[in-house]
Amino acid sequence: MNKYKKITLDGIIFSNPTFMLVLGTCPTLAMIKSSATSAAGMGLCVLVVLTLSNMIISALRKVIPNQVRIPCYIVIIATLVTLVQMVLEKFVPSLYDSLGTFLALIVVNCIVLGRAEAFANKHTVVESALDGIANGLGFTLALTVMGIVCEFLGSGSIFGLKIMNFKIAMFSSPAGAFIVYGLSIALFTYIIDVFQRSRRVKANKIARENLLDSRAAANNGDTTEVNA
Amino acid sequence: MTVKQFFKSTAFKCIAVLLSVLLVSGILLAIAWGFLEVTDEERFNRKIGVMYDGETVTSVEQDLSGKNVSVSGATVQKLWYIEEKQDYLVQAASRGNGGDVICWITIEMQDGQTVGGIGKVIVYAVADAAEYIGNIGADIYQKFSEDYTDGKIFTYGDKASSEFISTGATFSLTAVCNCVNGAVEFVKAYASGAEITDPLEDYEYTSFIDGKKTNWTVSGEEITYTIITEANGQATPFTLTIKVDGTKKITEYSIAVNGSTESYGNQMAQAAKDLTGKSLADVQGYLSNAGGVLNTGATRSNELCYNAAAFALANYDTIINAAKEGN
Amino acid sequence: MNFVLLVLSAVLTNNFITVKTYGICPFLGVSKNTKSALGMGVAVTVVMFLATLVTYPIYKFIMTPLHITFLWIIFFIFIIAALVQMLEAIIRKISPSLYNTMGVYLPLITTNCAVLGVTQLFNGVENLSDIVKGATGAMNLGWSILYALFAGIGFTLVMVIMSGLREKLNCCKVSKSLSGFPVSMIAAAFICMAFTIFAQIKI
Repeated sequence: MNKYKKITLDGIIFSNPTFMLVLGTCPTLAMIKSSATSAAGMGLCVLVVLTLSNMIISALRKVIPNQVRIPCYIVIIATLVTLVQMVLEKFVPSLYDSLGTFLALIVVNCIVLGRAEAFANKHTVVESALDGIANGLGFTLALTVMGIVCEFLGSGSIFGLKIMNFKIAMFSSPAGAFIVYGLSIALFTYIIDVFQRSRRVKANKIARENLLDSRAAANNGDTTEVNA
Repeated sequence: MTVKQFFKSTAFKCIAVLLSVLLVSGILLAIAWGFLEVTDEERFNRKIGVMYDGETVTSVEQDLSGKNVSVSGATVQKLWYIEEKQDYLVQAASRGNGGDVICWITIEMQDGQTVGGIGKVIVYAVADAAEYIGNIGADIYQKFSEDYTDGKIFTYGDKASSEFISTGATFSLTAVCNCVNGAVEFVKAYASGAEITDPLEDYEYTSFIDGKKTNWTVSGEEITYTIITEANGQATPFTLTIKVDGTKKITEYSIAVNGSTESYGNQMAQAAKDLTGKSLADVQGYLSNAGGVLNTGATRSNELCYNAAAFALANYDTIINAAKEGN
Repeated sequence: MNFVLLVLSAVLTNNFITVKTYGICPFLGVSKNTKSALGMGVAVTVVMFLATLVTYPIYKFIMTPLHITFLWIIFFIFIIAALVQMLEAIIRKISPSLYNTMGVYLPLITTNCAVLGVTQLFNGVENLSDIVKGATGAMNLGWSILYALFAGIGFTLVMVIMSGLREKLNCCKVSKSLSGFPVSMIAAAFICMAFTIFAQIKI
């Protein structure tokens, strides 16, 4: 069970594809500057493609020869992206329009090919599926949060709902997206840093306490023995 | 290597796997395409559905060839008659900040002859640079149908107007207003079977010149023009007084209403001074190299002032002759 | 006039990095020094040019008549991958010194969105005719290739500017959590701001 927990936490937090690995930057910047809705939509599309591609590649990992694995992965990913594109165009045309060209560019999103290469071709289908969902969620959450920040600063609304009547137009342009993305990375890595340091301190403390306890116990033992 | 060996080799396995993956993907996608293909017709109906809240309607495209389609700073690109509603759907374009803003406007009719109101206004497409158009909220598009009265000219994007709405997308909003005004005017004429006449049809250099408001007086060899331009991006309409004498040169060029943004206002006065004494050839030179000679930094305003000057000079003969014939 | 418009649009007004946000991975990853940034930029320009040259006719004269345009993603990415492989082999054979300066960046390009992005612009052709009004029929191929070429030059320009900035940044003291990607991105934001000026260009 611990293994699955580790995969999930790694995907969402400790090796978050957006903040920790800084992958898939093009759609991130393009979507957070346009709106929170399209950022979340983009994230979900990547989540679906990533999970399915991880599962298929993991299932086929014993069939595909090592020499042609990259072309095979690309074909599989391209097929999935085309499918997602068709479904969106048919059933959710408004989202399809707002994602624009970046929907097709999921094919060259480093996260998808990266997870296939680094994880899916070495692990079981269930693990790969979980890894896909975790990484996809990490990507989606990061994009949504930054999308909300950009949309709020850039147009005073969140998910299209007007909150305040102000706007800083820069935040709906690439410049604003770059700034929000850069500062988000800095904040995220800082928090993770502090968290891990405190965990290390805590771990040390626990270790020291254990040591003291055992020593005390030993001492007690000694004394009881003496007393006895 | 024998044939048998080849079939057992890694190379064969690689090719076979790659090809089969390709084949399966291709077939899968072809099947999916069969179910999910969105035809052009469906795409069009989808857009129309947005205009009529999801109702299915029959649209009949009207033939606009041979008609004058540029009205009120907008160009009517397409016109459909919607049978169920007995009203018209107009596709009109007007220039915004960077490129054209293309709008769809439904015009509601009364007794099939007169315009009763505006149904819905949406932006159908925008050219690249009009990125601020997203700042125009749905409530503003709604205002068009709420505020419509017969003969109303919408000026939400004009800073000088009392109904100006601050959106941060002033030029795009001006373009949308132009589209709506143009659409109403066009449908009015189209439904009653009248032709829209361009008052400046016989003249040259008419771009950016407001044909309805511009006028001139002739006294002997001298023509005094009062030219009112259209808005152009950042620049709101200019009112210019230009005098041209028998030498076909500008003897006086004064700016009565300066449409330039504040920071460029003084520079336009300088531009006006520089234009005095120039002939058509000079002005043509400026136009082909807009901003090059009289570089004020106010490109849009320059464009308006040069065009007005060119209009005044180029039509000198036409107007003088017309005046003589009239006498 | 159309030509000037196209060049300005591709290089400055609609710059791939600062306006369209294509190709950000190499922009942030391979811009540590000017030499590698220039190498990457030239490699991307060459591949964009060739990819458009090959994909446009295939889309127009093979895929459209056969009604298989929905397979374009698979087709294009395969073409780009094959092109990159071939180019790499050729350069290694002909000029090892060129390979050292530019060829080493080639394998990274297959997954560069700028290349797929530029080919995607032309499968819709309408986008292009917005840029170059009046271009019709056979002329479109010429304009497409030119557009790809100048978009690549715009990409190279921004890469080089960025690498200069980052070389300077190396000499500055940056707080620990900001160093690396965050400070590069903030520098990139200033480049983007500078490029918004070009949106005002009008001919």
